[in-house]
Amino acid sequence: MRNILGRLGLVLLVLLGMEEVYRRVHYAADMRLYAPAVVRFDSVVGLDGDVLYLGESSNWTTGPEDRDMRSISQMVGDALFPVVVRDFTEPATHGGHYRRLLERIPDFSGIETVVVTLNLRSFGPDWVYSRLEPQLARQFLLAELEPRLWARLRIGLGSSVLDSPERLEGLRNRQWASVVLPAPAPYPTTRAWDRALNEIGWLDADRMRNQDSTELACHYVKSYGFGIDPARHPRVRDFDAMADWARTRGKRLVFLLLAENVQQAEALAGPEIAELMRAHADFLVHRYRSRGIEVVNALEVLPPSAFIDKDWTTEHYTEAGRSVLARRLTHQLQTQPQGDAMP
Amino acid sequence: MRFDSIEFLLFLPLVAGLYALLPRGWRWILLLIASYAFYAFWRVDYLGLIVLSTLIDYGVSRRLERVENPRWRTALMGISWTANLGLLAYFKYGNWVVENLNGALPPENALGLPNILLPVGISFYTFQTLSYTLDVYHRRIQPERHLGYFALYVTYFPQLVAGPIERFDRLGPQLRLSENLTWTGVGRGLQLVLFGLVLKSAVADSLAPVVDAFYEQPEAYGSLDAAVALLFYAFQIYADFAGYSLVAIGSAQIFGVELMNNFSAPYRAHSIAGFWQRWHVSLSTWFRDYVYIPLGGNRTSRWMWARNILVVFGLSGLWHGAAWTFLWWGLGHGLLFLIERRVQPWAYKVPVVLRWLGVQAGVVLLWVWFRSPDASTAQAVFSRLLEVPEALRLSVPPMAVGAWLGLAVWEAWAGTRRLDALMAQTSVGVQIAVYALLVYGLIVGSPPGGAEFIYFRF
Repeated sequence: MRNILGRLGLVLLVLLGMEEVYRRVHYAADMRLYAPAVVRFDSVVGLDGDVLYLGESSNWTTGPEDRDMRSISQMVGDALFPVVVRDFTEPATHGGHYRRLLERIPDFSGIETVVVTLNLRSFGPDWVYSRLEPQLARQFLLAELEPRLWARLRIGLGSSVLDSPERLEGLRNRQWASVVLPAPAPYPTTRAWDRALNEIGWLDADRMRNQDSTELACHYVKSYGFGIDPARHPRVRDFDAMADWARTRGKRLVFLLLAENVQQAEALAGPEIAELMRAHADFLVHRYRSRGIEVVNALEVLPPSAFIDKDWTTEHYTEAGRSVLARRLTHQLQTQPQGDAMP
Repeated sequence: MRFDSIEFLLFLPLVAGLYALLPRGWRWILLLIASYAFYAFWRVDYLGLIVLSTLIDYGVSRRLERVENPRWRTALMGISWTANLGLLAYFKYGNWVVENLNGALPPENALGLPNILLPVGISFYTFQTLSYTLDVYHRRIQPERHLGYFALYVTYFPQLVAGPIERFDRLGPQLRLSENLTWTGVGRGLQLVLFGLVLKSAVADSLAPVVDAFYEQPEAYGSLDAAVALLFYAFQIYADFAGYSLVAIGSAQIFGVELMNNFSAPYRAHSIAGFWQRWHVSLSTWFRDYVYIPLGGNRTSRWMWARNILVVFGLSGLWHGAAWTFLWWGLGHGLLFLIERRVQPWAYKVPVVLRWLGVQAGVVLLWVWFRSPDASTAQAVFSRLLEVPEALRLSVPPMAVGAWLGLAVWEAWAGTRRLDALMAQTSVGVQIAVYALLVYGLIVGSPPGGAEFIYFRF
């Protein structure tokens, strides 16, 4: 027995030694290599700044005919001068990441206001179980999990089924096939709705099936045809946690509900999808305003011409679109924190 | 479940712990459940295929034991072959056959692609069960009467999805013994598991991104890049598969089961025949015993012998995957083998180093067919090799160079010796240092999101 304990003690000692070596020698380099987004966030919040803008590619994607290439956050920063607006925007990020990033803002940071994009599409299974998720999740695992060597092992042994792309795809398909959609959805599930649209097909003026439009209509259904169960939806929990964080830390938190191409959704997939989008937006706006969070509702403030991508559902805006969102956000930030957000 | 996963690192000690606690007579049940769970981690529904294959071969072998009439025996073998090879043909070659048929048919008559997902390990466990029924048919072995032990032989989790392909007379009795765990066995097993994981996760996965980048767009690179990618791939596939085999052998060793060695320093071979005695030994001996010898082996005319060689290598190529590139790879090896035999009388006069260089150059060049997704990619790679060398364009991280060099030095120095044998001769202090370094290397050297085992696709 003593022999076994001695061996276990030796193993423990060696492991502790390895942990120490890893922390001192390799951890920082691994963070730069495998968790660049987190490193960048840490450097952003380490700088002087008053407002932090957290968002995804909607912030900086520009259109081919844009002359003003500024991002939304830059436009806001210019409008609010001398208030300094810092931004952290990373493709495919969502509330689950923002929530964890907020926890990394140090106490000494001068940031008093945080703007977080509330992206309606990020509530759908297509984004909740995105194939990009494992890569982002690994970054947080390396940044947060202790001991560090265990974290490195977790990200290195790459087949963790919990975040494998195959498992995520399975979960996404299961959600589409099984979650019962709320009214006014015309079909019980996203899968049924998607199939029906695909079978009917989108017909051009000459009554010929237009395959591109059919696929886009189906994509609208898969992107926005979902239900939100407030008790269980991971994104709702994330935004709830952010609201709690703001209250605990005494920070001003503003959710920017991003503009969606509701008109195109309605034209291609029918009025039900547009009504569902509005219902989801209303639910989120009401939920967070009732919790004292300012919400800028920009869901339908842009015309279809302000969206760059015509053949896919994205929140990528032209110069005109970005400036509208920036103006609305600027206006909100200039309002006293207790004031109501713009409708 | 993959070996290079946290799940497996938890699964293995859990199964070993329960195994140690159970009475000897119950252990097969645990191992069978564990083996099915191991496979179900990937896909539950495809477990049915293994169960079906198990039941058919169990039933056929039990009948073969009692039936004396040669016609009936042949008919029973036919059932086993049709079922096993039928499933293999459908799941592995279905898409490929339809694609090729569509290439020959007018577009309006094109067949719909069945879009079949290849069940992991189907080639391995099919060949294992085929060897069993053939051995029973030829009365080389007595059939297993206990369905549970037979099912365990078919699904034994350490070697279920990527071999080594074990014969029943070797694995079956060991499974029946249900040996107690011993410190020595567990220690040796863990050593091999660790070494295998280092080979797979730190070496193969570090080389993979460089190789993938090159093969994704070979036209964008030059001859130097092609040479680097070819050399890296030769070591990537070796580290990947030999690493997997070592984890399999080590895992079985923990339970007191000795699996056959699948690799023995193949890149030290200075003949093609020698290479195949060292590379994927369980497959090459399978083809030797169940295809080459029944075809007549070398006890026939020169032309028939050459045909036999090409058939065996061609089938071996197709066993790896349903694509023409695999066939060309296999036939390429067959041709090199025939040429080698033809020039053998005077080849002995050539210095060993030159012979080694020639053989290994052939092996490395033939890997191009193996790695390329299609013939046009392979042609693009070969054409790159013929260009005038320019500066390296591939991004080669130091980790990849280190992994390649490390394995090359190990291969040259240790050769056919295994780590466990070497470690047994060293002091405890050295052992602790080496294991600590290996564990640290495994953790810090594994790039995130490691690639799937290459042989899982077969």
